[in-house]
Amino acid sequence: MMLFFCQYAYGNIGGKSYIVSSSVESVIELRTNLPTSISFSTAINEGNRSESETTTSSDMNAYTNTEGLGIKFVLGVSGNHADKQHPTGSDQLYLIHTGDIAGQPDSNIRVPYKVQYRPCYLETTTEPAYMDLHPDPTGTENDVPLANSFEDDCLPPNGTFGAIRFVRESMTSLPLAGTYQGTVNIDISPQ
Amino acid sequence: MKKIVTAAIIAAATVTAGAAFAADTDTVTTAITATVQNEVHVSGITTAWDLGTVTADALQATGGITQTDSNVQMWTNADGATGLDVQVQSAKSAPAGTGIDALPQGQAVIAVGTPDGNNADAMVPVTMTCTPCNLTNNTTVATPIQFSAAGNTATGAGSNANETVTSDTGGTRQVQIRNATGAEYTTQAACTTGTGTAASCTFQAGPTTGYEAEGGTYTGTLTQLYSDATA
Repeated sequence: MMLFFCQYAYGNIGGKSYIVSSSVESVIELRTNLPTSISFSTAINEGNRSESETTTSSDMNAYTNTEGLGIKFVLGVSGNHADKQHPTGSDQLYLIHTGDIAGQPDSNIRVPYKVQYRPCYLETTTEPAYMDLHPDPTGTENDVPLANSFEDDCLPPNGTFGAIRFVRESMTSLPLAGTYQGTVNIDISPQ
Repeated sequence: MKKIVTAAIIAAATVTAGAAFAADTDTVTTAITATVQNEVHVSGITTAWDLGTVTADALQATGGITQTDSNVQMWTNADGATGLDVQVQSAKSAPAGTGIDALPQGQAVIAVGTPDGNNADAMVPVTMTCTPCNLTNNTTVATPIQFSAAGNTATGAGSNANETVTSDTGGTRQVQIRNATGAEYTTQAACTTGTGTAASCTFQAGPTTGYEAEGGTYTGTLTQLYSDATA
């Protein structure tokens, strides 16, 4: 009412617009239910070494809210044991024998594995395939498609969470008996 | 006259991009564990060899009659194992007093019935010789090891650094296939097709040098027990 009064008092006639602005920050989020440690449940032997084992998928909500502005993100993986020689080498993550391995050939002391990510997606669209995350990616190998990186695609009820899983890969020979361990970091950053 | 003033409020939401990320990076760390089982692996060795009907001359010829398995794998992946111990037990072996050089006491044989020192003609010596697998790029060549011959002067025995013989009497013979470098012989990486050269094993009947085997049906069994060698 005061506003009306003042404007009227000063003879200000005609329309008046007031602009109220606020800002929303761009966000890149990586939220995951992934446990801090996992174990492949099947002990490896000669009978199953040529088979792979995939862990159960865990929710991994990785998204940005900057769709339309061309901001996409990339998922990186870095293991404490990895060969980064892509593409001429193996570009390979691996677990390593926890015992005394001095002098042993690589094939005797390594268990190869890889990390895969299935991007989040709208439930009205087709579920995207799992993509391999490379420790030493070439080009856009680890880039999450923009269509699957916006938060609307990722958050229920309209979207479905992304998922991540680990795959113990097949081997041509059985490594030394024992326990194999490794650590992998999964990070998200803008492209 | 009335004046109507309209106050229009337009809310404009501005999205800032690029520089102002609330969280421009984030990281999750996961530890991963897998287990590999301990295994002594032997495959590709004939479990039944029927020579069929053969002549005495064929058994007497140099080299006798043989049968070879060319894609044998024998290895252990035990951490710290020095190789494989192989104990070979023959169901029938030559007794003392045959008077035949080819039939020394303890020599594994196939025989008509029970071996009898007074009837050497009813025995035929048998041997099992294996060439361990090895890496194709390894300069060390795997040396054949004879599993079932009597006497320390048998092929390989006492002269092969990768073999030891602890017993040659009574038809029981124990040899050891060593991991000479940790990357050859009984190491699985050396024994897997595509990585190394597979082992091979040859069964041999004869030669019946110095005598002629009599007619009849000869039978026998060679049992091999493979285990981790730790020293």
